[in-house]
Amino acid sequence: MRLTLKRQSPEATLVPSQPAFKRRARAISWVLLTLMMVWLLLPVVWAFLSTFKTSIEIYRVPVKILPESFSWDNYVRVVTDEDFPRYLANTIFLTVVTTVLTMFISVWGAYAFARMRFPFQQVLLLFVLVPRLIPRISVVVPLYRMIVALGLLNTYTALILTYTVTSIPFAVWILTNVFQSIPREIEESAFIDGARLWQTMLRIMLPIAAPGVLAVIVFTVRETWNEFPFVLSFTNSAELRTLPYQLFLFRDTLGIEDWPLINTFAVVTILPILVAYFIFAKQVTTGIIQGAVK
Amino acid sequence: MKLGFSTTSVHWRKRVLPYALVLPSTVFVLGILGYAIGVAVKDSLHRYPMLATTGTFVGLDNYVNLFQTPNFQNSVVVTFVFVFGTVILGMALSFVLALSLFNLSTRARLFRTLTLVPYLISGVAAAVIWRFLFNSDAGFVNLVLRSIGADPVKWLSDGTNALIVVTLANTWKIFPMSTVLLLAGLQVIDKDLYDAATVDGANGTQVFVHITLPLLSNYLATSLIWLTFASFNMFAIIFPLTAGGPVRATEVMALYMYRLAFGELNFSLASAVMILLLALNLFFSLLFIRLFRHREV
Amino acid sequence: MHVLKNIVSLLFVLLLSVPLVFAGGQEEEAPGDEIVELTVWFGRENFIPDDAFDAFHEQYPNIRVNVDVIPLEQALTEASTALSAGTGPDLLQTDSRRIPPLVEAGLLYPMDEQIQIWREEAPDNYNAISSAGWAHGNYNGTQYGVAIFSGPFNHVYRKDALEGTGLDVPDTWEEMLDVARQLNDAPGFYGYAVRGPTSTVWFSSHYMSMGGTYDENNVIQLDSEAGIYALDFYQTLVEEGLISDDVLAWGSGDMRAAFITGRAAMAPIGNNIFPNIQEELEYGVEWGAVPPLYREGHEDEYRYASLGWPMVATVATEHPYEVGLVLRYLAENDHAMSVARRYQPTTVTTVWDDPAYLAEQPWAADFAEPLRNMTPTPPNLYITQMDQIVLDALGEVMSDTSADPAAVAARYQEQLNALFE
Repeated sequence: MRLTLKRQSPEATLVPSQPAFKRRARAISWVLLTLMMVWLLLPVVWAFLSTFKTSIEIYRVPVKILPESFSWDNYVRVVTDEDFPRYLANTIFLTVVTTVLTMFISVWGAYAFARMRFPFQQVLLLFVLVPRLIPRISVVVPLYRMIVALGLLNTYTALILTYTVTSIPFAVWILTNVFQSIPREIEESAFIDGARLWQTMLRIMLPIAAPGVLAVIVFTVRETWNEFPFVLSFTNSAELRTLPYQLFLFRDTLGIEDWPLINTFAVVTILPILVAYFIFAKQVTTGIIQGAVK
Repeated sequence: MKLGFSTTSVHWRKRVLPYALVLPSTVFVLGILGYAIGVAVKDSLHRYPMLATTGTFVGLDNYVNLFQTPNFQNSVVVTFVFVFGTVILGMALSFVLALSLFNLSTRARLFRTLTLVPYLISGVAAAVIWRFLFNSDAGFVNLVLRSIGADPVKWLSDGTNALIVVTLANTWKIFPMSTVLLLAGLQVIDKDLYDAATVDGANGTQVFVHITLPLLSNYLATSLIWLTFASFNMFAIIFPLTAGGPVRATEVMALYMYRLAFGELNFSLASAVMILLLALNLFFSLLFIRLFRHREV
Repeated sequence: MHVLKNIVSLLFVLLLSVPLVFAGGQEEEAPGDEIVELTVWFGRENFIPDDAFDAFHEQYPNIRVNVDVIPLEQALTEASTALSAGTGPDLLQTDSRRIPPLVEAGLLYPMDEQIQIWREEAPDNYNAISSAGWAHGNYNGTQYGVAIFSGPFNHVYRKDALEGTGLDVPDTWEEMLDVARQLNDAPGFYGYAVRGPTSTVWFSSHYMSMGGTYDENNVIQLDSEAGIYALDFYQTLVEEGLISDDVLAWGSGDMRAAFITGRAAMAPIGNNIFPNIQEELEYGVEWGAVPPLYREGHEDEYRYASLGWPMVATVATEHPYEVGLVLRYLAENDHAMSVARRYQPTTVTTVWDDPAYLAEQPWAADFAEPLRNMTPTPPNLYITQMDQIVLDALGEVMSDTSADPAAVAARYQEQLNALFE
């Protein structure tokens, strides 16, 4: 109590610790931030609230923000649908395999690019990095022709290959930067102690680079979990269908536009990514900044 | 002297190992993506009878044809409106959000985390959410309009409005990433520079224009490239949201290409559109690097 | 940091185990020589009979049928690519309008001979199929297969809404517009609902009922009296607000939803949706259905358009006789009926009089006669391009109510004709 009083002593007011514009800037920042959060979150929150409403409730005027009762019926309907486990399993399978493959290939590539000097290094690096300017949709047509020629339409292999190859450039880019930001001395001492490369990687490099590695994992998972153009173009059998694809088809297969149910499905598909992100949020943002701006 | 490895392994480590390590990524990327682009270039210079696998070489005919097709011209115009609408709005919003987050630093940590939420949501889910926002009968916007006694607006069934909605949705989805990039830039700027300027009596605007902006130019370029790039190639939002409609009002080049390939089965024309799309991507990336960047990030 | 370390190490262990995952799982199979394997692509899950080939496998233990569902919209692309790669199906289901490109690309197998054998070996089964069923599987005089299912769009109406305002069920499109105008007064309630410029099949159903014809290349004649009338009809619906503002952005689900949830009084809806409507509303009490209406003064030119989804044999098949057996199986009364009672109408005429079918579908009796007189929507070599042009024309008159339908028709007709030059 005394301490607080003391802080508001006359001297403190006479010599402000910060200029007035800074305080004003802070107030304005709060106002702007609030507006930005409304813009950011309103669409999601509005859809989320509708998942508890009835099909009739959502048409009501004047608009009601909160549902009349919080019923989990729609969630039960979505999750207990007989095909839901298959879509979920497909999405998880593709995500895990793609992420694991991408990480395995990219970690070693990035390490070599960051730490070793060898002929044609820059050329090879360019070959890997330029494709990060080649997005999925723009290669969908030739990849489709290629997959057809290989007889891989409607296979997990086609999806895993194309997902991985489009994930590698980003992963190599971030990881190379992250590895470069680690002081060399740390691993050199390990080598002098006779450690093998994979041991050094496992015990020293990856743990130190953990935020960057996690960021890359989260972004690769995000890309694969959400992927749409490839799965739309390269598959059509229900056996390979992923959650986003099913969400896309949902509108027409229902025959009737049941907004609460569609929104529930949407919420269910995005929830795992959001949860994963919130768990690692701090590392992911640190890692992405570290990797992207180095 | 005991180094823990023999001379042969030194040779191996120096000469062969680097290639062994980078080989999977380079071969994979070059092999699949490089080959794909090669196929596209070849297809775009050939004409195939419908459903046939062998075609005749026609030189640049497909490109010439494209530029004479009204639907392609339309898609180019729509693309530019969509991309530059997103870039301008996205840059403005990113600046506002990044500066507010930066000013409030640790006080706003939770909001910093929330910023990336739209970016993490799949394009299809974002489309569903935005469709629900702008649906005529059940959409939030029209419900609010009707609640305050105003007339509901045709959003997705009017060409101009649909393009506005699609641009807004796209901005919403991708601007979080450019915000994070700008925020990263703000954090790298040396704090002492601000203090020095403040002591010299500079006000907030002056600090921003003379110190923040110049030091931010690299990050600005990265953000701009990101927004441009992501918008030129946006498919996952537009296709489920409007499918290019109504009446091609939101048919960007990526959608036009998709429709040519998988709707009309015209893979050679679709490949030509793809090559043009790639060229546009490269052109704008290089342009922004030229304009804003002092070094390659 | 410890947690992080553990997670990263765990991931690494996962990384190392990848090759193991890929190493396993290669299934090896050596089918005996006497077993005939057939792959059949259905265009919708719903088209697969309830029995799902159990009876067939029992009857022919040496034939194994593998069923796949390839959506009708993608069947053309998928089939052409799969067949040229040598991995195509023996039998595939397609929209009958899309047979010509498959034939021209040399991907279909003529079944005339096998169908002749069918006629001799199982005449009852053969004779039960309606002429539309055969027509949908025929192109330029060659029979590539048969459509067991073929359906029209019908004019469905809210009986309760019409009776509530003392209005009669319209006979002509002009009367329909009048009824729609009178029912249209309540906010959020529309006289009519229709799919906008996102699919051509509803439009061609209207066009044919209005007397529209196709030329010798099977090109739609937008620039004819009926074509201009049809475009004007769609424009009027928008111009007078007789349909929802959203119609330009609608999918087929939206149109059905508007009707079923009571936001539209009338709509063109296929028989396949009737069971869904019946779940919510009672036929004959709350809703009714009749074939598409007439254009006043052009009753003679009226045609009741049908769409067909034939099963056609492909060049990939080495067992045409067995493929014929599959067709016979699908055409059997009970199997065709198992689909028709929940989905599209069948061309197997014995089903139309089957008491079990009539009892279950209260509208079946009303449609038994009209369904005999359907005219297939014609197939076309450039169907994908033709559809795009028609959609552009339709989109133009619907989005710009000041556009002159005749001028629009003339302009797009040039593009259509150019396809065959």
